[in-house]
Amino acid sequence: MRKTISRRGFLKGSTSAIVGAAGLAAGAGAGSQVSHGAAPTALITRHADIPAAKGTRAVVVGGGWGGLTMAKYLKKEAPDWDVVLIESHATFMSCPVSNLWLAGLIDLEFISHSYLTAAKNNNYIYFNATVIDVDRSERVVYTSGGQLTYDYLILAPGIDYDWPAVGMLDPEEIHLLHTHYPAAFKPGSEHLTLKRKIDEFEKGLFVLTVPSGNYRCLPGPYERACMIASVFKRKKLKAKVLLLDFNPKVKIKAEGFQAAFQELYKDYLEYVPSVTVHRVDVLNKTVIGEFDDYQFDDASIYPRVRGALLIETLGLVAESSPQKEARINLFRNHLHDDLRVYVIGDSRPMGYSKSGSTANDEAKYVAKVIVGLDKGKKLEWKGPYTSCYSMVNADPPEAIYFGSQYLPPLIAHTPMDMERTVKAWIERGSAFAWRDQNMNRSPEMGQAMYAWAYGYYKDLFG
Amino acid sequence: MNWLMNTRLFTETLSKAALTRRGLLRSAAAIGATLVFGKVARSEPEDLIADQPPPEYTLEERLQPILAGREPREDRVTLEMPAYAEDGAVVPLRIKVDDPFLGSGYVKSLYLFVDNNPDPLIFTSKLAPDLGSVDWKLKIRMRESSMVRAIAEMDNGDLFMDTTEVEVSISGCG
Amino acid sequence: MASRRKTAIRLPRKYAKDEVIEVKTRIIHPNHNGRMAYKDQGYIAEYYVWKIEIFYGDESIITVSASAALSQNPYFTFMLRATHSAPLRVVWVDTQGDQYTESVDVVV
Repeated sequence: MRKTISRRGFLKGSTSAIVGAAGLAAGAGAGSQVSHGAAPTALITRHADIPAAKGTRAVVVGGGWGGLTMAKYLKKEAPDWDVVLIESHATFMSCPVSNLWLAGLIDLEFISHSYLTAAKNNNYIYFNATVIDVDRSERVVYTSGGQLTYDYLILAPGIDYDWPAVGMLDPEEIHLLHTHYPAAFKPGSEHLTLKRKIDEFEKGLFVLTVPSGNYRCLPGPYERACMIASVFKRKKLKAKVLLLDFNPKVKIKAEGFQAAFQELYKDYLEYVPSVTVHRVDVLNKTVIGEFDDYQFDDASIYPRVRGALLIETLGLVAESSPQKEARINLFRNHLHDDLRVYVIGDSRPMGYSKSGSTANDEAKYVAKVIVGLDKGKKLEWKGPYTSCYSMVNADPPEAIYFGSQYLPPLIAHTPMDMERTVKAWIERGSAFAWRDQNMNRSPEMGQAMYAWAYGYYKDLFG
Repeated sequence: MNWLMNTRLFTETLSKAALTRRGLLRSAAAIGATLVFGKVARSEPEDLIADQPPPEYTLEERLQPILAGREPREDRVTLEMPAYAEDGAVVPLRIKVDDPFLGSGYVKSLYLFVDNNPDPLIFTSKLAPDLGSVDWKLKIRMRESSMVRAIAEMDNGDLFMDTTEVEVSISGCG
Repeated sequence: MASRRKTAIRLPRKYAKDEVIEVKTRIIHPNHNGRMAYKDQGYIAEYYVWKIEIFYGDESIITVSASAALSQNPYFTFMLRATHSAPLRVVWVDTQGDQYTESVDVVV
């Protein structure tokens, strides 16, 4: 895709694209395109209604765990900088810990937070808009609320779903699948829909799927299976969670999850490994597998994930990335040819877990990198920490834990000593420098999980 | 119990020449898995642990005995694999052979090699003459990015081959 | 509902005599390759399916001899000409010497 584009070229291309969309939305013919022609131009030439930049301006795109941390810590590292967080949602809903809400252990307020509070407490600007395009030569971000300029741009757009990877090619069918059986790994309406499904389920099979590749929240589907099963158990329903896993075994915290499956949910949860989903027949409520088909009464289908669509529309996808992740320097997160643009969080190409805690720690490091490079200082590379509790029992709340720090990313064509890195990974059989884990579920661990979440929310919003 | 299990495995190990390279085996349950995991009952043979990993082989060591001086032709065999595999633990593949049972004899054996695996030989096989078609699907492990080769041996000893390059990125999980 | 036995064979729902059909097989097996570190105490020992043999009636039609590099829960599909009615039997043998057998009837 294009690397740089003149302002004029951008205007021409984008205007026609937006007009086309407006025409479609109106469901009208060519005539309506003419009458709507002025709106997009006005949108693009409009300047965003935010205070004028008072110093170096950093624009953070995406207010998830990574973006929120980035905005706050840029301000900490460089108090005189002007930081703007662009986020399309008006409310923050946390994906981490949301499984506890699905099972009724916590209320919605615990995982819902205000962007306004975060911006007020940390002295940055929250701009509620959607990014449409970026002109890197002029350093302009175009949004649904007008344009703004940047000195540094940090993209933290998260994930999108890769529907074709689960055999869903027809937009009609994708629409049906997404509205009927949402994955609920992009917080918001998907979670609200799933919560209602769980609350209203009476009997039969409730199917969950675990996708292939590196997906958001590795323990998430397993924790969710436990939490939904706990609801069925509490209500003594003739109901069962059927967990269809692409992987040949539980991908993470296997001992802890397997113990919970066997000891707590024998009659309420069945785990099926090595299930490759070929397609979902929404109307017949059937997951078509490579080997078997699975009929369900209700479901939440987690397709494969990919880097956010924004990364692709901006032409930033790494060439050999099976999950369409960003083309960036693996140690400092900036584009190879543009030290003013960074990508963090779940759209990164490194094999780190796509999790809130990883994004949080990564953002703190990258904030230091950005401010350091601005002052001509190079920082020693630091692998992100990951810290992760999973609730496996609801009565009483009992959790398990895994924490670690990542070794350098293992991907070809890096300036690192490849042989040494490869050897380190192979010798350890993993990507971790060390691990700290507790697979014995206990009420103390359950309480620790609440404290963990509370601590992170305080870090993001306080 | 653990001691019995060990003894049984140890005997079988000795009886299987190909497997004697395994180091002294111990049971994970015996050396503390029960302490570490508490609630997890671990009494399956999968709990056995060894001091050493199995030895590695070069491609030459594994390929030459099968080629036996013959040169495979790049024809008739089709090996389908993803160009990029994000999980080396599960890499799907499909091997097809054109017209294997018509005219010029039949496929007697299929072989699969992953050049950069610790043991490059993935499998050997024998096929009956009257299967009608050769179109196999399997899933394999790949340690790292590598050339993969599928070789078909005809009943008259002719060899056909297809190769493909697979880039493996290790995901950072467990 | 599909069965969730340890071993499984799947044939197409419908097929005619002499049709070449796809046969899918799989076994739930950890298939340890002996190279995974077990904490700091060594390696999880080799424990894998080293032979998959297919019998059509009494005849052995395919034998796959594998190294430790098949993925966990080995999956294998192949083509077969359904020439006659007979049981199709799959025998998996692992490095412990354990045998697992599954059988379906080919009916033409």
